[in-house]
Formats: sequence, structure tokens, C-alpha cells
Amino acid sequence: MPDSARGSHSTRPLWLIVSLLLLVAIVLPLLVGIYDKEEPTLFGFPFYYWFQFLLVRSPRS
Amino acid sequence: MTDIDPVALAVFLFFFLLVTVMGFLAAKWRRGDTLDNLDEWGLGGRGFGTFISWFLIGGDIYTAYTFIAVPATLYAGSVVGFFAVPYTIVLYPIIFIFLPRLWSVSHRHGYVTPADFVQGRFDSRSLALAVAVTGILATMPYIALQLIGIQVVLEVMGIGGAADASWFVKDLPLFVAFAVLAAYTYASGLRAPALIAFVKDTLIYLVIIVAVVYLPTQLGGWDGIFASAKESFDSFNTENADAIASGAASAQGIIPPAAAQWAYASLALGSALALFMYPHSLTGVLATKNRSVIRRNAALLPAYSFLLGLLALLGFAAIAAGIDVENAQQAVPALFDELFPGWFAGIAFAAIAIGALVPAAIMSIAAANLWTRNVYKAFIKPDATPAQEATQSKLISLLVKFGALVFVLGLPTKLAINFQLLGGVWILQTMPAIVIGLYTRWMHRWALFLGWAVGMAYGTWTAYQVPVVGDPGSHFGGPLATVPFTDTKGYIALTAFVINLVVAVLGTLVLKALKVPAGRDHTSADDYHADAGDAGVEELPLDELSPDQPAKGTP
Repeated sequence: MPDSARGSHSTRPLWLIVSLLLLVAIVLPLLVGIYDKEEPTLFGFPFYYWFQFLLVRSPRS
Repeated sequence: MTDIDPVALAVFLFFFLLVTVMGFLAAKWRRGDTLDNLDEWGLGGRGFGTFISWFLIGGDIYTAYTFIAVPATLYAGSVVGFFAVPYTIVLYPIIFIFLPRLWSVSHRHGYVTPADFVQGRFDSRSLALAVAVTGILATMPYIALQLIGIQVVLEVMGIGGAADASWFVKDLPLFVAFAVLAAYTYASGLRAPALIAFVKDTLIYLVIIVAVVYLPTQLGGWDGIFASAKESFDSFNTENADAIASGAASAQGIIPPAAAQWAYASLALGSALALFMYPHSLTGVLATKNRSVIRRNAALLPAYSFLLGLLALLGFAAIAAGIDVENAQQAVPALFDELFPGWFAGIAFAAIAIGALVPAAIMSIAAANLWTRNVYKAFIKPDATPAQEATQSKLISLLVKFGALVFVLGLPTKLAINFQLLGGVWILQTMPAIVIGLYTRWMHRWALFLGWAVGMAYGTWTAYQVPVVGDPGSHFGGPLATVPFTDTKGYIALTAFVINLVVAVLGTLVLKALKVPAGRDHTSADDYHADAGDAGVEELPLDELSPDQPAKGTP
């Protein structure tokens, strides 16, 4: 059991893709420069805010 | 400040008494034979399933931090406080990546605290002690933040004396709340916050949902709220142009200025890395059933972030509603006081106060357990009986709360969020030993120790030197300082963490060249992937320290 668990961990390409997606999920919110603006607004929210709310949802999709 | 609203006060007192009674009765809830050992007192008899555990951990997100500290920064025009949202976004993938490894190795070896793991991995009692002491220290300002949350609610309700009253009269109600909390934590242990957490979360969800749905309809929608906030900040900037230019005041705005972008990102990243180094969050994580429960729980966090963001924006809503308070932390309670009928305001106040009591209790217990396992039992009395361990933990839980009170009385409390961020400065310095240790044993134990020491010293000294804006010569005024060799301001915790890492890496190279013994690794490679059902994985091995932990004679 421990052996199979280990084998499936670091080698599978799926794991690579997952890691890459997770990396994007970590890095994107930290690049504040790309969303630090007021326009365009959405439902009254400045871009800065609705973009971050959007980021909240995106990692799950 | 308005006079005391009898209805709000009555509702508040009703809930406060309710949870106090529950806190004491909790000792009998799902009780074991005795409360005289650490399993029962400090870990609720180890009988909590995933459901209750998640109430305990996930519920920690909704604390006084959420209701008071974060909206207060936005109300004060420092939009950098909204970092709480990217913080919880970044948190999710981080948990997903490294916590399952920690879960696995901990369940193979029966580790309960991060210091246990460090001891087993690096074979160094000094490094484990450093991790344990840091955990205890960093928890205190976090508890202090909760106490300030209670204090603020009491002030808005009009109890606690006027500003000109002596500090004793002013803080008396806080002392009472604090004493009650300490008493039932002492008596019931982890069962008290676990039981109260249900009341807390019910009240908090009710208040949040009503607030974020109802308030915008009263304040001209979200665009009206943002427009009012912007207008207010713009006029502040115009009126105080000279003070801002001279650095005696900070410019305000609804989005961060370009110069504050790194501050924002570093606060988010630093806080996210720090959260699961805290003893109270790790204990909860280690109590989950298997690796996938952790990953599933991590996937629930983004939903919390969403509400957290909307709550933060209540700081702007308070501006739109014309709330004018001297102390920004009173903004949200005052908003409830102003726009809701007395009975609902009372519920909201109770939700905030109870929302502060529960995490304060959990944190003090977790810190106390850390003391008992990694200091008391490791160094002072290795042959302590279970009853002696429980007594130690109970006493230390009181001491930790007292330490928190010292923070409240001794440091500037204008923006309590700084308390949580100060804790982050310290706790983040334990990360190289814990997280890098989960992946590789390349780092040398003494280099990690040295890195920790340098990071702690740099972080504490730098935070000490930060003055409160407009009050030169004051200390611990904020979490940001200029990053060495640049003009950019960043979160001190993250800067200290980088320095810590550099020292640890350089130290490792030197120590390896000198062939200083690295100690024995008590874990093996497949320990890090073991899941429930695998050989040697114990169900909830919280009662014994690592069986292969060496007793004495290690550094």
C-alpha cells in the first residue's frame, strides 16, 4: 500500500497539471499590478474588487 | 456615542449568559471518565469527528478579525486591509500541497504538534523548543485581537465607561468577559469552545447574510457605497494634503496606490503561509480522518473568502451610512447599532463577542498543549503523569490569556489587525523547519535554528521600530517596513522569512562542510504519503508522542 501510494504521487502527468494550476492560483492574486484599477466596474464594484471575488471562485472550476 | 440601548443590551447579555452556562456544562458533554488528562481536557477526548473539527478550524476564519479588524482598515481608508481576501485565496492551494504530507507523517509517528514533527525529523530538541516557544508567543497577539473585538463591542453598546474614565473602569467589562472565558476554559477544556462554536456560527451566519443583503439596499447599492467611500477619501486627501506630504498622515483611497502593491501581495502571502503554522490550526488539521478530508476542507475555504470580502466592504458601508467614530474598529458595530433595530443589533454584538471568545479559547488551549508536550514534558518533567500534564496545560492556558491581555494593554490598539500580523511575523519563522522539512532533510538542524533566531530577531526589532502614523517615536505601529536594499514597503514577516531562509541555506553549506553531525531522521520516505488504512497509520494517535522519539542526549 505505501508503495503504490508513493508511485502514484510524483510521476503522473496529472499531478504535474494539478501543480501547475495550483501555482497559477497562488501567483495570480499576488500580481496586484494587473488588477489594481477602478475601471471597468461591475454591478457597482470597481474592477479591483470584482476581479478578486472572481479569483475566489476560479480555483474550484 | 449613543446611550445604552436596553433591548440590544438585554439580547447581548442573554446570549453571553447562554454561552457561559454552555461553557461550564460542556465539561459534561461527551465526557470521559475524568478531565484530569490532556486527551480529555486539551483534545476533547479525541472524540471529535470531521464535522465538529471543521466547525472548530473553519470557524476560526470568522473571528473578531473578520468583523472588526479587517473592515476597520477599509473604514480608515487603508484599503490594504482587503488583503484578507487574496490571503484566503492563496491559502487554499498551499494547504492542498503540503498539509497532506504533514498529516501522513504525523499519523505514522503520532505527532501532535509541529514541534513534535521537527523533533522527529531533525533530531534536535533545541529546534523543537524554538518551534514550540514561537507557537506560544505568536498565539498571544492573536488572542489579544479577539479581546479587542470584545472591547470594541462593549464600547459601542455604551458599557465600559467614557473615554475620560480611568483605564480600570474603562476596561472592567473586558476583564469580566476575560475572567469568564478563562474560567470555563479552565474547567471544560476544548469541549467548551467546541460546543459554543455551534451557537457562534449560527449567529454569525445569520448576521452576515442579513447584513450583506440588507445594508446595500439602504445605502444606494454597492455603487452608492463605493461612491460615498471614494468621495470621503478624496475630501480627506484634499484637506490633509500637507500632512500626507510630510508623512504625518496616510493618503486614503478605495484601491491601493501603486507603491502599496507589494505590501498588499506580501501581506496576503505572508499571512497565508503563517496561518497553518499556528498551533491551533494544525491541531485541528491533524485530527481529520484522512488525507482527502484535508483536501476537501481546503476546497471549502474559497466560499469563506467570498463572505469575508463582503464583510470587509462593510467598512465602506459604514462610511456610506455616515458612521462617524473616532476609533475605526467601532465602525461595523456602530453600523449595526445605527441601521438595525435594537434586538438585531444585540444579536450582532453577541455574534461578534462570542465569535471572539471561541477562537480565544481554542488558541489558548493549543498553545498550552504545545507547552506541555514540547517544553514541560520534553525538558522539565519527562515522567509527568497524565494528571500533571493536564494541570500544566490548564495553568498555561490562563498564562497565555494573561499574556494576551498584556498585549492589549501594552501596545497601540488602534488597528487590531496589527496584532494578528505581529503574530504572523513570529510564527512564519518556524516555516523552514516545518514545511521544507516535509520535503527534504537537506537543511542542517543548527542552520535552521540559526535562521529562525535571525528571522525572529530581525522581525521583532523591525516591527518594534515601526511608529504609529502621525506619532513618531511610538512602536509596533504596523506590519509594513521597507524591504532592505529597496524603497518598497513589504510585510515584515515575509522579509524576515527570506532572511531566515538565506541564513539557513548558507549555514547548511558551512555546517555540512564542517561535517557537523546532522542527527538521525526518525521518519522515512513513505511516511509522507501514508493514508488512513495503511500499515502503521494510527486512527487518531494523539495520546502518545512519537514512540521512537529519543528521550535524552540529543542537542
